[in-house]
Amino acid sequence: MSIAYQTYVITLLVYFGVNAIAVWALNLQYAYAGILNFAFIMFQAAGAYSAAVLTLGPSTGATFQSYFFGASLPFPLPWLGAAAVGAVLALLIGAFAMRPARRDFQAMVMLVVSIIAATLVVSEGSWFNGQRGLAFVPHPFFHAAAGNFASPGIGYQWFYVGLTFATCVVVYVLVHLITSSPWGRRLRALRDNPEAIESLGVNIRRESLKVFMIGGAIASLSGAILVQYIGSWSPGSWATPETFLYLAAVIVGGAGNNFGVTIGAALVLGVFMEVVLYLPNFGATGVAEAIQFMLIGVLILAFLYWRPQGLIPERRRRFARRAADAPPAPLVES
Amino acid sequence: MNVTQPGTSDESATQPADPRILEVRDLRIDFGGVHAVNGASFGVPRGVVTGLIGPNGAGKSTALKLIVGALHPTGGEVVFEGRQITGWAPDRIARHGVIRTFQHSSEFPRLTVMENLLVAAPDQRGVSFLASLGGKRSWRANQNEIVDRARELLAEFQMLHAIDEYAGRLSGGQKRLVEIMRALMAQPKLLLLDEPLAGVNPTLRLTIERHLLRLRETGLTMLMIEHELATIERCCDSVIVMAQGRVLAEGTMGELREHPEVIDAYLAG
Repeated sequence: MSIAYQTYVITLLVYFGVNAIAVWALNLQYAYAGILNFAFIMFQAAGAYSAAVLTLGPSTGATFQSYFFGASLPFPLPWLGAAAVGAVLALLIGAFAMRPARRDFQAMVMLVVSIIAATLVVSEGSWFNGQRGLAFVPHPFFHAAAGNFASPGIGYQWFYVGLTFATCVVVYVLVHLITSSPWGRRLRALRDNPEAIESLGVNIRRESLKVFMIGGAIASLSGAILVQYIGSWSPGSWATPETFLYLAAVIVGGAGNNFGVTIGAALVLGVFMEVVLYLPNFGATGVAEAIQFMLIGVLILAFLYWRPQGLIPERRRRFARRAADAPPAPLVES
Repeated sequence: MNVTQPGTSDESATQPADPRILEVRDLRIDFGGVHAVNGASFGVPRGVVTGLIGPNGAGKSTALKLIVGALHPTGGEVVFEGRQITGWAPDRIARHGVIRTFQHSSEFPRLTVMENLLVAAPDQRGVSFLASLGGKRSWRANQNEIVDRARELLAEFQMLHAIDEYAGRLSGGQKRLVEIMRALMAQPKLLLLDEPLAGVNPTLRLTIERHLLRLRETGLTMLMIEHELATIERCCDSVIVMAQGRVLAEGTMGELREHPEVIDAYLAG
């Protein structure tokens, strides 16, 4: 296999790992707790920026890029730091957004916050170098000579695939433990009927906030993994419509099914997005990208209309032990 | 499974002497100048079933929402087991044993019938983030016990056949039964039923009524809003009549039939 082809495969695999982690986070928030997080991509961006400034070293102002704070923390501290930033950001936003238990309000707060954040990051150049973004973010365990910005070799890139997939395993186990537990069941009840679960003694704001923070931390982790692979991050990487790509993956794969949304991530964010890139050039610059988003919109609507449960629906938890549990229904339809 | 009321078991020895488990005093709420509840005062005796009746717009359901904390009163107070609970959040009131059912079906539609019951059980293990990280071994034994309790309840209500059915796919009457079972799983000290027979066909009405009568025999304290007076007469020990946000009268159905204001406001209407 040629180096170029291997690099292409590696890039697809790293992106798949990052996208899988991201959709598990969104699945946790949206499909388990009913939180429509239209600011989702902002959490991934927060993780990417955090990991970048935690590895780039102090900003001296002498280089072509400026940013606040700046440190050279060893792995895995930048990833853990990014996850912590995601959780804190979720706490700050959620404390306001979750206050009234109204989903339309929550969704609009997320959307507005996401747009405000993008505008601020672009206009305030001293935070994360504005529109130009941050570049030359160091790779974990890779030490280039000073001033040498050479890319790591193919062996290192395969190592990064392994690191990404190892993180995927850890995050999947974490998400599985949550979603298969009585707490996961309580979250699904909260999603279905907040008023009813509150009437049974559950503090719905606190539970929503908790899961929002966990999802925010995982989303930020996905951003940290990505930025330390591609080495750069700019506002163009996290435009608001990117959230809908992840939402499409969850809806297509099967909201409420962690394996299903993984398939959704592979199909929508991998196959679907890649195939469009191979279309012959036509029209003005940017037409292909616009078509991508149009098709994603159509895909979301089509699934919501014809197959709202997605390709692999949420698993039904069964408790029947024997045939005796299933006598003919004695009750009459009202 | 014998449905037990925590307040009537060993705990009863430490209960206050007050025979009233719930006291509502001068309760008020206004909606833009409309006095939905306008100085209502009544008590709910421990261990019996109390009916709450009145014409549409009398303030019955609003009063119930004020009791459970779903609405905040503009005046008055709610005292449960001698403790002021006015203005408390609904979840906090529920954790103290005041459990309600809803006027409209309020099942968790994408949870199975069994799951609808399991989420209501108090003192479960594995219901927090950190507890969930312990894995099945940390909560499975506890869940098995709760599943057994739920299974007994389903058998009593003749709903075992629907154990793995999504609650959203049940008939209206079956949803009512699930809601009542779910409330019982929460081990209430006081169960508030908001029109438990609304929208249910006559056959299933009798089934639900039979279950309510059985619960009454266990000594479970209930406050029931219902329009069907025959049901109120069969199920309730005493009845409170509301009209225009106030309490008109209290007594047995027999006594209320002779009450001129009640006849004017409700029975004749």
